[in-house]
Amino acid sequence: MWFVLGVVVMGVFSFFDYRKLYYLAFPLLLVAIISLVLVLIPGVGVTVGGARRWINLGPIGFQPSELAKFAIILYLSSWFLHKERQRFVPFLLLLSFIIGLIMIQPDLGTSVIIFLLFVSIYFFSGENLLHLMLFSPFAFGAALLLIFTSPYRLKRLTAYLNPEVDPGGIGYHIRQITISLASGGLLGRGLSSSRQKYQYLPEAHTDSIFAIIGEEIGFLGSLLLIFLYGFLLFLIFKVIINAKDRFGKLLAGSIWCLLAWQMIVNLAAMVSLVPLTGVPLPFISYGGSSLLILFSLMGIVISIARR
Amino acid sequence: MRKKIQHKHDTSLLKGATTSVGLLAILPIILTTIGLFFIFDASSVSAFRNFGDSFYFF
Repeated sequence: MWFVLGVVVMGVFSFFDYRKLYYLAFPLLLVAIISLVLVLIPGVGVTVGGARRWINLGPIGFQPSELAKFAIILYLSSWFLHKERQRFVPFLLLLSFIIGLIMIQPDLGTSVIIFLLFVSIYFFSGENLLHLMLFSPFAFGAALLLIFTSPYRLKRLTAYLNPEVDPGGIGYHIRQITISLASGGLLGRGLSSSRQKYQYLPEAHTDSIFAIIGEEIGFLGSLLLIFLYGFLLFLIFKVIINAKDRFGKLLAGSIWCLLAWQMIVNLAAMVSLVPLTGVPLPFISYGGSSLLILFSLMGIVISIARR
Repeated sequence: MRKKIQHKHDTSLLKGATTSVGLLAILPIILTTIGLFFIFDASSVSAFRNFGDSFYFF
C-alpha cells in the first residue's frame, strides 16, 4: 500500500513546480515540530521497543521524525537561499531543538542523520566553514555527553568497540549480522534460503535487512545493490549540476545528502565500521513513513530535472 | 551573395535529461521492489511464528 501511495506521490511532486515549495517550507516545519512534540505525549505517541516514535492515525502508523527530515530539507534550502544567510546562531538553535525533540523519543539513528543533514546543507550552501569548525568540538562534546549519560547508547558503543565482550547480550546483534554476511560468501545461499532470518537476527526486515540480502545473494549481489544506489546518487548529482537556480541546487543537494548518509550509515553499521544506530536502508528497509517521504523527495528531484 | 543561415537544434542534451528523469523514477521503484521481496522473506518467518495458522500473506 505504501509503495503504491509512494509512487503516486512521486508522480504528483514530479509535476509540481518545486519553486512553490519555498512557501510551504515554514508551515511544514511547524507541522513537523508540532508532530514531534505530540508523539511524546502518552496516549498520542505509540511506544514500540521502548521508544515513542509513532502516532496512530487509524489503521496506519505515522513517524513524525521522517516528516521532520522532509521539512528540514525544504526549510534549510529556503533558509540558505538568501534572506536568512549568515545567521549561524539561529541555525544552531534550530538544529539543537529538533535533535533534542528526537533524542527524547529516543531515536539515535534519526538524530545522527538529521545532524549530518544540517551540516551537509550548511556546507553545500557555501557559508563560512570556520563557524562549523569552531562548532565541531562542542558537537563532539555533546555527543560524548549523550553517550555517557544513557546506558543504552553506552552499550551500543561498547558493542561496537568490542563485539566479543558479551556475545549473548550487547554484542549479539552485530555478531549475528557478521554471521549473516560471512555465511553468504561470494554468491550467497540463494533467494529465501537465509538461516539467520529464523529468529537469530534481530530487526531482520528493518535496519538489518542488508545482512539478509548479503546472506542470500552474497558479496556480488550486495555489490550490485550498492551499484544501483551509486547510480541513483550519480543521477541526482547530475540534477544538482544542471539545476537552473540556487533553490533547485540546494534542494537536490540536500536530498542527495539524505540518501547518501542513510545508505552510508546503514551499510557502515552492517560491517562494524560505525556503531549500530538504527538507520533504515533507503527504499529497502521496512517503514511506510520513510518510504513515502523518500518517494516524495524523488518526485522533487524529478521536478528539478524536468525544468 | 548572402549565406543562408541554417538552424540546428541539438536534442542530445534534452534526450539525456529525459533518460535521467525516467531512470530517476525507475531506480527507486526497482530498489523498493527488491526491498519488498526481502521484507516479506525476512518478516514472514517471524509473522508465521507469532500467528501460526492464522497468518495469511494475502
